Amino acid sequence: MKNKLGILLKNSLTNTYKLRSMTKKKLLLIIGLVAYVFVSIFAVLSNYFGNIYEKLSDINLSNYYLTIIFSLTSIFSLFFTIFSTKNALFENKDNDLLFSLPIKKETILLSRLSSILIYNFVLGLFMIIPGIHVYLTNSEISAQILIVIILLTLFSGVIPTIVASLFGYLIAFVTSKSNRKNMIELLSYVIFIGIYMLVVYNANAILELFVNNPDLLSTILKYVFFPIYLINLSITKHNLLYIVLYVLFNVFIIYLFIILLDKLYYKLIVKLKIEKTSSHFKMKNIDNNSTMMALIKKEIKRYFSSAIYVFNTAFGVIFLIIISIASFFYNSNEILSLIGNGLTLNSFMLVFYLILFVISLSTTTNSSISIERNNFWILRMLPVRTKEIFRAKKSVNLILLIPAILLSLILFTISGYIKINEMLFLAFISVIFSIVIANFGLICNLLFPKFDAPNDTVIVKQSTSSMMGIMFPLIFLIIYIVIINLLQFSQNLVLILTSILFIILLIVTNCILNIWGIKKYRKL
Amino acid sequence: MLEIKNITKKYGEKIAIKDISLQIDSGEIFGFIGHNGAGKTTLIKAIVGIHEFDCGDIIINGISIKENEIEYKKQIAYIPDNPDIYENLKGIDYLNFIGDIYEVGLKEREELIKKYATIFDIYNNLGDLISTYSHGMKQKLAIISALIHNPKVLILDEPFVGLDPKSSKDLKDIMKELCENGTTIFFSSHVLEVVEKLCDRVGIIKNGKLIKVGTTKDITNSEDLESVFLEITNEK
Repeated sequence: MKNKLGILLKNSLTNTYKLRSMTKKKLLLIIGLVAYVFVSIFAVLSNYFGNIYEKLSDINLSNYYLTIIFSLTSIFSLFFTIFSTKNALFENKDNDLLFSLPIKKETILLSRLSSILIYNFVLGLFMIIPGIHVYLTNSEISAQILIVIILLTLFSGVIPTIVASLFGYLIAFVTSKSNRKNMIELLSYVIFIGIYMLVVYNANAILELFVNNPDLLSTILKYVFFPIYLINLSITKHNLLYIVLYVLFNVFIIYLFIILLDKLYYKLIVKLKIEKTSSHFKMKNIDNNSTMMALIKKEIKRYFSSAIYVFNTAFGVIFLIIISIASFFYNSNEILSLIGNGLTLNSFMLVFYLILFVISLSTTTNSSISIERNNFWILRMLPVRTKEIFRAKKSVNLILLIPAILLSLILFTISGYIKINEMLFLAFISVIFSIVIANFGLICNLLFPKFDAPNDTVIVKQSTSSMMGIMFPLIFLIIYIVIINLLQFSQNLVLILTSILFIILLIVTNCILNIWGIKKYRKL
Repeated sequence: MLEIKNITKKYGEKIAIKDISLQIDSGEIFGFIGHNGAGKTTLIKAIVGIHEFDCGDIIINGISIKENEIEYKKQIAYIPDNPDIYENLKGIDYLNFIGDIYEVGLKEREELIKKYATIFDIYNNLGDLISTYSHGMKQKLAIISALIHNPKVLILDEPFVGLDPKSSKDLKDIMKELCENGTTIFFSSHVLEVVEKLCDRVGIIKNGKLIKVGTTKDITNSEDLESVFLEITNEK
């Protein structure tokens, strides 16, 4: 008799990642893409972790290195998972089907949890592998440590999964009692990010405190972060008992999660479907809109109907506005310390780079075709040109970005970070680059559409096009910034070269969309 | 008039529909029947412009889909078998969206929305999110959205699925009324009794090929459509 959990998990993974229809070509492309991203991250993180190891070695605390790596991995996984757990647990299209089958509800919950766990495990590898690489090149390794590392790697995703799932439950519980579901969900994410940023902002201070007070660190680990305490003991004491306890602890919290929250699970799924209705509709004055306006309004409504879509794309913009307000109270070095140590930039370059990075992180178009999902037939049927559809989708991206960028530029000018002529130049560059990024996002989505996602989260956070739409522009920007710094161009030359480059990219991406993009869209 | 000329559509190596030709006059109701996977929905989606086709052409009142897609589509309304419509919009938002795209005047739009929403008994629900609608209500909304721009050709794929008996009757009456005003209606259905009663002509598709076309009377002769269908498609 087949294990039902295994059946559910296999089905879920096969469906989500389209394993049945995976051609060799597609597989090679995905492997290539993942390898490219992995190598890029490996290079950056190896350097960063190497610095951490050096600093710890200098104060004879290198035995805390692995503890820190696995803790950072948990925090990293938590950050990426916390926004998707509500959808992943509660808003699946196959809920009705699965609950009608002879499967225990806790098995369904466990299968969903396991999918998140697998995702976290794979995500965690992007940090763990560079971290272990640094450790292996700097330390002698014993069989015991190897076993500890393997087990820690295998179970690294458990705690972030459980914490993120609890957060997902909390949001589901609160939104089930309210009519303003999207607003509450969005607010929860913003609060989480606020707390997260606060911790990151104070991370160095926290690390220094612990480095100077190892006994305090030990006490806090033991009584507050017990799993990390067990990790630390298993590494520092070379005793396999602690790693066994760590594994048992992880299994126990999964068991506890299922037992305690299983009963609430089904009730929440049902409650989340209920929305307030009214039976007193009165036809009010209707506005007559042009085709373009009708399309844009529909796109905007779709955008704001999904909290995860909004949060994933608007976060950068919100961050930019906060920094521009903060520029009235802090100088550029203080703001830079938020981003990372070792960076030295003048205030203009800080604003310049910040805006470019925010634009590249705030693409809505990389998911805007996939997010149509089962509704795609409507756009295909309507008497509208493909160009108009593209324009409407890009408009949402530009409406999100451009007013916020212009506002932040004005604030940066008033606070003295940039001059008026620099502001004008940056405004021009920002508009051009925003359109380039919107074009690129659309091209990515045309290349890798995903109409069969079970929920918006998979499209916005986990689809190939959404990842490409962010990673490629980011990598391009990093390379570009490194080049212009190496060549030590003057500020004016940087602005002129950037403008020319972005205009060329605009022309190229427009051509691609208008020629190839339209043909590709019609074949979808 | 709807003219389908030698339409072929392939999915990779598989031929979904092969060399289908049809001419349906204004004011005619044409029923399209076939077994599951015969190619009904493929042809319908090609007519409506959702899918491209590999060869042939489709012309509505002299306008070819290949040469002037936008003007072609302005003449069509489509009601799918599964009414997946924007759940995050209210009913009235969706109708206004369609009205804007098809450039329906405000007064006419308001009148038609009121008329059809009252007939289908969902007027009071137009202010609610579509996500709160039942399947039947979504189907009704899709039907209303198709009717408010006075299409010259109405394409329906299994239109009676999910409709209560009163709404089914109302839809049949509306179809007859539209035909009297010159609208061409092309619809597929598995409910052969309805096809037999409603349609002027019937086409039977099997494995992507149109194997029989004729008036309902000619096709059925003295038998019922179900017997004829089963005999023709060799399923008896």
